[in-house]
Order: sequence, then C-alpha cells, then structure tokens
Amino acid sequence: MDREGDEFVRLLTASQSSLYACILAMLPDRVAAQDILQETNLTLWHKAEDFDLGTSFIAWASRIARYHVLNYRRKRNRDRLVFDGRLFNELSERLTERSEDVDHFKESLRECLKRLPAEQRDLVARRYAAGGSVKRIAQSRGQTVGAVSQILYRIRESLLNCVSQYAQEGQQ
Amino acid sequence: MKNSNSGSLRNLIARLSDGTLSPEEEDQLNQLLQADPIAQQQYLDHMLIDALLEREFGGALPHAAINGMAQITVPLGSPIASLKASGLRFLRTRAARWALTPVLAIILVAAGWLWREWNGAEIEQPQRLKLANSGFEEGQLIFKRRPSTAAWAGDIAEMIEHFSGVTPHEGSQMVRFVESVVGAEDACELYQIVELGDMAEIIASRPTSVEASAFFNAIEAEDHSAFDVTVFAFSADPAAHPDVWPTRRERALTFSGSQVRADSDTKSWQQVVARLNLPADTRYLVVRLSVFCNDSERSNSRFPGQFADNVTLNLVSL
Repeated sequence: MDREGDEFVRLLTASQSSLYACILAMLPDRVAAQDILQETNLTLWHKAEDFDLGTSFIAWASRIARYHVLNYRRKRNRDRLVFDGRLFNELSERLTERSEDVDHFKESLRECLKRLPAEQRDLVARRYAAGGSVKRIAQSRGQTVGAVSQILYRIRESLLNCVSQYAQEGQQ
Repeated sequence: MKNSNSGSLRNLIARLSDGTLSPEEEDQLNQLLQADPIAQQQYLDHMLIDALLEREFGGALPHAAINGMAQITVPLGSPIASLKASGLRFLRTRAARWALTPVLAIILVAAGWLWREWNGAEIEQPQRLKLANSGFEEGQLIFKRRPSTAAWAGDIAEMIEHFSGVTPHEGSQMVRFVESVVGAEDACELYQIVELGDMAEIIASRPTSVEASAFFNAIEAEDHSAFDVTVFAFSADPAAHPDVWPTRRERALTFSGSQVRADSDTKSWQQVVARLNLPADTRYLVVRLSVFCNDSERSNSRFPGQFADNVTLNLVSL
C-alpha cells in the first residue's frame, strides 16, 4: 500500500470511536449504530479516492454516516425511531458542524477519566464494560435504577466539562 | 432552553442513554428538543460522551479488528504486492476496492458479530426467573424438610410487617427466620425449587449463569449473625426423590453460595448475591436463604430477629 493508502487506513482506524459517537447521537440505538458504522466503513473504503488528505477526515466521514442513518430511517417505521424527521435534520446538521469537536473529546477523555474520583471511575467502568447495565449496578448497590442513572448523568456531565476545557485550551 | 424543562431534559437524556426510555418519554424528549438549540446542544454533548465511554470500555474489539484490516487484507491480495512493486496506486483505484470489498465485508461483519458476542450480556438483558412469593407478601411458608416448587419451604419462619423496629426492605412484609428444626441448630433455612422450562434451551445452547440476590437484616450484631444465599443446579426435579435434597452436595450438578456477616445497622438492609455458571443440562434450580446465629450462650434453636426480603433470580447469557 502506498503512503496515501497507509494514511487513509490510519485515519479510518483512528476515527472509529468518533464516528460511532456521531452515529449514536443521530440514531440512539446501540445495535443499529454499530451496523451503520460497519456500512459507513465500507462506503468510506469505496470512496477513499474522493477524500482529500489534509482536510478533516471526521467531517467527511460523518457526512457519509449521516447518509447511512437517513437510509436506515427510511426503512424503519416512524414509531421505531426516537426522533421525528424534522428534529433528526436539525440534530444531524448541528452535529456535522461540530464533528471535529468529537475528535477533541475523544483525545482528552482518557485524561479526564483519570481525574475522576476512584469511586466514580469504577462506576463508569462497570456501566460501560461488556455486560454492564444500570439495572445490575442498581441491584448490587441497593439503589433504584433512576438514582444510579442520575449519578451516571452527573459523572458524564463532569467529564463533558473536563473535555470541553481541554478543547478550549487546545484552541488557545 | 427553558429552565423549567432542564430537569426533565436531563432525566430523559439519562434514561435514553441507559436504555430505559419509554415511548411516551421519547415523545417528551422530541418536544423538548424541537427548535431548541441549547437543548439540542446538551443532548449532543451528552450522547457523544456516552458513546465515547462505551467505546473506551467496551468497544475495543472492533477497533482491534479494523486495525487488523490494514494488516490482513492488504497482504492477502497478492496482486497488490506486484502492483505496488510496479509503483501503481492499486489500492487507490476503484477496481482494487471492488476486489477487496468481499474480504473487507467479511472482516467487518465478523468484527460486528464478535463485538456483539463480547457485549452479549448488554444486548441480551438478564431474564428474571419467576420465584413464588419473592417479597414474602402473599401465600404461606411451608415447614418441610425438602424444597417445593412455587413456595418457600424449610425451617420455621413467619411473614411479618415489622419487628423490633425493623421494617421490610420492599412492600409491606418480610420474612423472619424463627426456629431451626430441619437442619443444623445454628442455621435457619428456607428454599424453593425453580423449574426452568423453556429457559433450559437457552442454557443448553449458550454459556449462561444465574444470579440470586436477597436482602437481609438482623436486630443486633452481638449474636454474630451471618446471611447466606446459595443456588443449586439440578438436571432432575429435586423434589421427586426424598433422598436428593439431604445429599444435595453430591447430587447437585453444581452449586455456589455467598455469605455476608450482619452489621449492626438495623435501618439498612444488606444484599447478598450468589452467582453460578450453569451446566448445559440444568433443568431445575434451588435457591436457599440461610441465616446463621453463632451465639454460644443461646439456649435453644430459636432465632432472635433475622429477616430476609426481596429475593430475585436472574438468568444471564454470557
């Protein structure tokens, strides 16, 4: 593979988490989002020669992902989709505008996780590890699902503040 | 975003993220996000972090597989090597990509499948098994030396609403272990058989475990109470033959238990959870709840105040 081919594969590999995040935000269904990520990967591979090295890979890839999400939505009944058409358009346009933020978030998330108190880090690890679920955590802690859900929301919020701070520092 | 809605929005996003959003709540979320840029921003920020966390802790496999894609697919194509040698940008041509597409597709599908298998327990939620009178709210306790289906049996126990300031963990009643008669004097036990029925097919076809949980409480710590939950797996009905239960340690396919020593806090309940990987031929389970009283000054087999409540049994596909 030539140098440009190597670079394309590197970008495709490195963008998997960001791309999945963009897809899940447009289509909050984890199983469908994973399928669409695979379909998007195939299209990106097919269209590799359309990509200009030096431009934003995630911005280009997320536009293609949006097309696949749209396609998926067309095949599904409205009652099986969380967002209606108008809201989906608003959200996906907003997301396309800030797709590069996702890459910045991804880069600093690990650092922000290290800054969390050990108990919170442990809770996040249990929630997002294979087989983890809020219900199981709630059972093991003797709390309600709603209470655990709110604790996790607050942790994600503090992670969001942290990654946003990193992103701002990076821009300065 | 309207401030009055921020609490609802937060709650709805949290529930969406955790997979517990109802269809009615989906409508509410739509309404709150509709034409509200700040709310949309909040939603996007949150879901992006949620997805990145999912990939960070559970999504390593597809990443590795896609990493492998560069290493596996390219050397596979011997034409590529020769084309590379001749200086052509074979991989950047449409023809090459069409040629490699089937290989890539297989790898991506396999990666997806492996990822789902890896995260199988998340996709396939634990299945609650039906336990009769799991909260000790109804029915009767049977004083009997062998376990029964559809009822708790064992030593002498009673269902009560409160006792010496201890109130139920859930609902309006709990069980109080009263007197040890059928087994060792220092242990008071209740057990119940659960027939797996159709679930047995799941256990036979894939690795499965069972998780039994119960909440316990005791009136005082000086008596050195301990609580125990044990699950036994059987291939045949343990109630069918009278000698099976007394020799359960030899006759069960397998069993596993978990013990917790009682604390001195009567206001909080202690959860005890036992997990057991089930053999493929498991057809019946027996859940046993035990309390131990190690007070050497106790003159009889009666128990001063040990309680259990809210028993659950979940099947988890691994």
